[in-house]
Order: sequence, then structure tokens, then C-alpha cells
Amino acid sequence: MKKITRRDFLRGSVATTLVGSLAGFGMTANAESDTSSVLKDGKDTEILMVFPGNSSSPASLSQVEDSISAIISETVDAHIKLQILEWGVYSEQTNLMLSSGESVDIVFMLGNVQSAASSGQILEITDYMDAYAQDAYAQMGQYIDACYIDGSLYGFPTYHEFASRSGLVCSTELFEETGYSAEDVTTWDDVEAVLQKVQELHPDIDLLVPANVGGGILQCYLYGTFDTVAADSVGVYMDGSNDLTVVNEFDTDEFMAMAELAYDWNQKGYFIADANTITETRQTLLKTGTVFGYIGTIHPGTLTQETTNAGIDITVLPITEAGCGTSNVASYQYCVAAATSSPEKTMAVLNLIYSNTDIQNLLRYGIEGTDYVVTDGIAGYPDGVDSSTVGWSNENWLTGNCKLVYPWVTDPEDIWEQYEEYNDGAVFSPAYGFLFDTSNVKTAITAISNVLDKYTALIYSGLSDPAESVASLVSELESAGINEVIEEVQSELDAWAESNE
Amino acid sequence: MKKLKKYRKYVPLYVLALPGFIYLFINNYLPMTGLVMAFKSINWQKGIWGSDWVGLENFEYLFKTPDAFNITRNTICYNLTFIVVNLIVALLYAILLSEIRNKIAVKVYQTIIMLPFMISMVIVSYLAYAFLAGDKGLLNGLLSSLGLETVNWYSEPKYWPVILVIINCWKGVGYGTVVYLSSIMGIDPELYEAASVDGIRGWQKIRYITLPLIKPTIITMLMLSIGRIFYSDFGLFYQVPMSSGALLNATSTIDTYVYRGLITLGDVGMSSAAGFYQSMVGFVLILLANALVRKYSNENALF
Repeated sequence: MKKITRRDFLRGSVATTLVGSLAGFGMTANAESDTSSVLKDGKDTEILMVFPGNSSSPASLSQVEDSISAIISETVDAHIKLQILEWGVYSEQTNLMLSSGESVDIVFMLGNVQSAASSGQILEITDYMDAYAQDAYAQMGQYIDACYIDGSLYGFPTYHEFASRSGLVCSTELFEETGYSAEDVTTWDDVEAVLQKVQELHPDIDLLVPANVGGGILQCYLYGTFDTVAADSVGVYMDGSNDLTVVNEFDTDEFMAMAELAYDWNQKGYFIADANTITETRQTLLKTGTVFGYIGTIHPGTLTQETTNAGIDITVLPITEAGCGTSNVASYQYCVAAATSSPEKTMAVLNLIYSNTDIQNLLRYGIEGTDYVVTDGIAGYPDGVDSSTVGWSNENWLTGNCKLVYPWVTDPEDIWEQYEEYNDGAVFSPAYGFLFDTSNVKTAITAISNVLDKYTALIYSGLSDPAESVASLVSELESAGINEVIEEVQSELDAWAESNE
Repeated sequence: MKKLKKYRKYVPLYVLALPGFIYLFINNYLPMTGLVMAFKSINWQKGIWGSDWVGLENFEYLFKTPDAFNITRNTICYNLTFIVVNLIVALLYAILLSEIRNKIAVKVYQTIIMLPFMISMVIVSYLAYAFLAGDKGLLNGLLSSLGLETVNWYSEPKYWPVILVIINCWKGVGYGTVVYLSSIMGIDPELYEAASVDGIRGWQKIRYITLPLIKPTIITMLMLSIGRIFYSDFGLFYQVPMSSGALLNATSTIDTYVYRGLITLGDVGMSSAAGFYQSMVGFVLILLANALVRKYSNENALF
């Protein structure tokens, strides 16, 4: 054994001190180069992004992918692949993809973010936020905050109309015949006066159709009144007060008043016959010209949306106040799948998607010049292209951060300011940001779903005397265990409120 | 050694059957290991095997709900009715078809009877809608032209047991008919000739020759149906009533209850528990039924 001399000791300590100080210097520099070294590691990762659409292979798909990949590869060693799944099969296919561990990276969640999170299908991204998603947070901060489930974040909400309000959406032609104007119609009584007039002028026309197939005519009537927190039936009032009392929404005066109105209007013949069994959508019915309109959700984009879908001129008449609850914001999110190949790169790509204007325009409209042209900052179809021949189509609420895109030619120029006004001007629910954990009351929720299926569509279409049907509904909800759910929600809500003081 | 030699000559047959066995094993036996999902709380990041055990918790919702009696009663009563009605009608058709001399006519009738079996239940629900729709339906048109009051079929639960039995019979009878017909064709015609010499005719011929000789087939078909007694044709009970709320008490079965309840929760453990419950009951019932049959006529038992 060689003797350790004093010289060795000296060399050793100098070396250690040197390394130590260098390491100290390098610490701060390392933090930044850490993320870029992870993102630019020389391996070209494929990031697969899944979202819904009308057609799974639009003509411009590969061009859009290449253009987005070009922008991404400047900061991340990755290229993007877009997989569009059709609406009818979207939920089942994404469910399968996420359960089987297929290598998906970014998934658009159509509701059930919470159950996907609790069953391990999507990744918790709380820890990646600071390092990789600062720009996205700058854009959507207030809304991202509402998506935390018990302190963990799982995705980014897409920008869309966050508040709920309802009103009458109807055919302009028939509306103008009544002689009323849009300013005249501000309450439900005004709506009734309009319906009466249309019925006089056109006794053979069906006045109101369901907004959603099988949902009942007045399903959207109470939107904006309650923030439904659990089981589609339990929530708090969204009336500007900070009252956190949880109620059974079907056992309230508001619901009873609506039920009686539905019954009354049905007796007067304002509703289409067989309202709960017809299978045509409201868009198809409006197109035929034999119906007047429907009671549905109203937001700044409704006019364009319904006019495009129905093909006739539409008048939109909002009635109720806009209310914003957590479910409005947290229902539709872009999440990171649990089986993603690289969470860091996926987060960086998501960050770019949410903050880069070019990517948003690509996702929304397709390729400039082929699928859309811009004149004076407004986007429109190029000559010779229309909605049936265009190579790419998408909707505002699916792109992520659509307030960055060009306004479309049928929207008002200041549409995004209108959206902001609408969203910020809504009454926020006292429970905004609260997400209920269902694991203790699953039995009750299952039973409640079945009871709701039995009665709600019936009541919304005024098909039976509310005195009986609402009473039956409430009593069956109680035997299904709704009071248990209410207690559970109240205790979780109170605890959440305290911890958020 | 002698035993092996005896089996050696059957080896080609076993080899022939091998692909079928492999398929059966992979498709029917391997997935049985998934039954554990009924007892676990599934977390996809841990995978099916790594998820936590929760005992019988996933089964609670099937029994605690106030609807539990209703859905069980509906499922069993409908299935029993279907079995009995389909059996009688299929036998009737098979016997009638066996009497027809014209070969071409038999083929044509067989095809027509078999056709509804091939149609998807979704289409059948629309066919039913054409008959039962409120103001434009065929039935209501008939009633009003006869001067009677029209009925709002989709809001009156009391007619639906009859409606569903009729639809199920119309759709399913073709399968039974073909099976029984082929069984009847296998009966030696000499028996009939000998019997007619003895002076029996018509109904007695059926009662004393045809029915006893196809008894094995009938028993087999019955036992197979009994095994599925807790299952229901989802399309029939969900699509045909057009999800009309008023009809739920009369048309809700275990399958539709599970679907309606869990479509929002998405809990795989709970829905697996429902499947486990249904198949367990069916299994026990088949064992019991087989034991019963073995007691009364040994050679007719399934196993």
C-alpha cells in the first residue's frame, strides 16, 4: 500500500475545491441547459396528437403536419403526427388507446378528465409546468388554474365560451314575420309572445325542437342557474353570491317553475310531437324549414355555428345571465397520455401549440393559400373553395387557444374581444375550481343516472303533469341516495374552500 | 402401451381439430383470467395485474339500488317468455315446413323466416318506430281510420312486454326453425309409413313420432338458452324503446342498467362485476338444469 503523503492530500483538496466551485458556478446555467438538452437530445421523437373531427383524413393533413413540425423542430427535436378520430367513435377509441398503453402523446379529452386521471390513463403534469409550459400558462393562466384536481394538474383547457347561458335560436325568416325585433325579446315571457305569434301565422309549423337528440325541449332552459358539481344533479347556485350550499337541483323552485312552463307550453302546442323519440338533429330540422327554432346554449360563436350547420339565416336571442362553473372550463382539455414516450417533449410541444399563432392558424384553418386566404386580417375561403371541398376543417374549441387565430369571415371582427368580454363578464360560481372525487359514492351515482334517464327528458318536454312527475323524480332520487351524495359533496367543498382561503 | 396405440389412430383427427382448439383456448379460455377485474379498482398505470383488490365492492351497486329487484325481474321474466314463445313458434314453423312437398317453396319460406335474424337491431328499432310513432306511425294510422283512439306507444309502459316479445320472436325464430327443421329431416321416413299403416294421422303423428325424436335437439337448445338467462339483447332493450324515459320501468334489464349507470363514470371494475354476476348465475343454472335432465332422461343430458 502506497503511503498517502501530504502532497497527495494537498492535491486532493485543491481538486475538490476547484470542482466544487465550478459545480457551484455551473448550477444556474445547468437548470436552463437542462431543459434544452432534454428537448434537443438528437433523437427525433414522434409526438402523436389525437383529436376529434368530421373526417379522419382531410386532404391537407400531411402538409399541416409538416408545417407544424417545422415550427416545433426549432426548439424541440420532435415532429408531430396528427390523428383525427371521427366523432361517433371518439370516446370509445380514445378510451381503448389510453387503457392499452398505445404510444399516444397528446389526447383531447371530451369530458371525463377526472375519471381518466383517477384510473391512471393520463399523466400528472403539475411538475412540468414551470420548466416547459410558461408561455401556455401566460395565455390561459386563469383557466388552467380551474383544472387542478386535488392539487394536481392533468391538462390544459381549450379556449372557448366558458360561460353557460340559454335563449332562443330561431329561423330569421319566421322571426321577422312576427314583427318583433331582437331588442323586444329579453325575457321568457317575451319568448312566449313570439311563439304565440308564430303559431297564429303558421299553425302547421312545429315551433320548438330539442336542442340535443333525446334530451327534451327545455333541457337548456336552466343553463347558467346551477354549477353542477356531481352526478348531473347536485350543485350550487351561480347567482353571484358566495353561498356554498349544495342542493339537489331537481328539488328546487326553479326546476319546478321550468317543469310547469314546459307542461304549459306543450299543452299550447309549441313543442314538436314525439319530441323525445325523434332522431333528427336540430340542424337537420332547421334545414327543412318546417320548424321555428330551439332553446339552447348561446355564446358569441353560436350565430356562425348554427348558420353554417342549418344553412338558413338564424337569429340568436339570449335570455338568461351567463354563469361560469368549473365544468364549463375543465370539461374539454388537452391531456398528456400516461404512455407518452417523452413527457418533457410533449409538454414543450403542447406549450408551443397553445402559444404559437402560426400553429393555431394551421390547426384551425389548414394551409394558407390552399384552404384559406387572409384579407385585412380576416380569414375566408379562397375562390372556388367552399365548406364541402376545403381540404381542412376544424372548430374553434378544438384548437387549444383559438383566440390567437384570424377571425372568420362570418364572425364579427372583434369576435375574440367579445369572447373575452363574455367569459370575463360571466358570474363565476362560488365553487369555481372545485372538482368532486366520486370514489365514495359510485353506487349512488349509478342509481341516480338511471333515475335521471327515466324522468328528465319527459319533464323537459312537458309530457306529463309536473305535480306528479317532479314528485316521483325527487322521491326516486332520494331512494337512489342523492342525499348521501349531497353530504359527501358538501364536506369536500367545505374542505376545499377552507384550504383555498 | 395398449391405450396409447388405441389413441394413435385418432391422431389425424386431433391434428385436424387443433386450430379450433387453439382458437377456443385463446378466445374463450385465456380471457377468463380477466374476471379478476371485477374484484379490483383498475388503475391503468399499474395495469390490470398491479391494481388494488377491493373485494366485493364493485358488486354493491347491482344490489343496493332500488331498481335492483326491477331489473332482475325484467331480465328473468323476459328471457323465460322469450324461451317459451320462441320454442313453440320455431317448432311450429319447423313442423309445418317439413310437411311441404315443394322443395323450392321450402327454401323460399326458410329464407324469408331467417331474414329478420340477419337484420341489425338498430334497423329493427327504426322499423318498430315506423309502426309505433305517435302521429305518423302505421299502427296509429290504422287505429284512427277504424275510429279508435290513437295510443302514444312510447309513453305507455304496459304494452311493451308484448311488443318486445313479438319483436324478439319475429327476429329470433328463424334460427330455431332451421335447427329443428334439420333435426326433423333426420327422422327416418319409414317410421311415418309404419305409423300410418297403424292408422294414426296429423296431430298424433307429431305428438308420438316427431316430437319425441327431436327431444335431444330441443333439450340442447333449451339448455343453451338457460345459460344466457341473465343476459339480454342490448339492442332490443336499449334501442327499440328509443331510450324513452317513461318505458324504463318495463324495459330496463341488467345490461341496460349497467350501461346507463356507468357510461358517465366509466368504471371498468364495476361493469366487469356485472358481467361476472351474469355469467356466474348462468353457469350455476346450467349445472342445475343438466343435473335435472340427467335425473329424468340420462341420454339427453348435455354432459
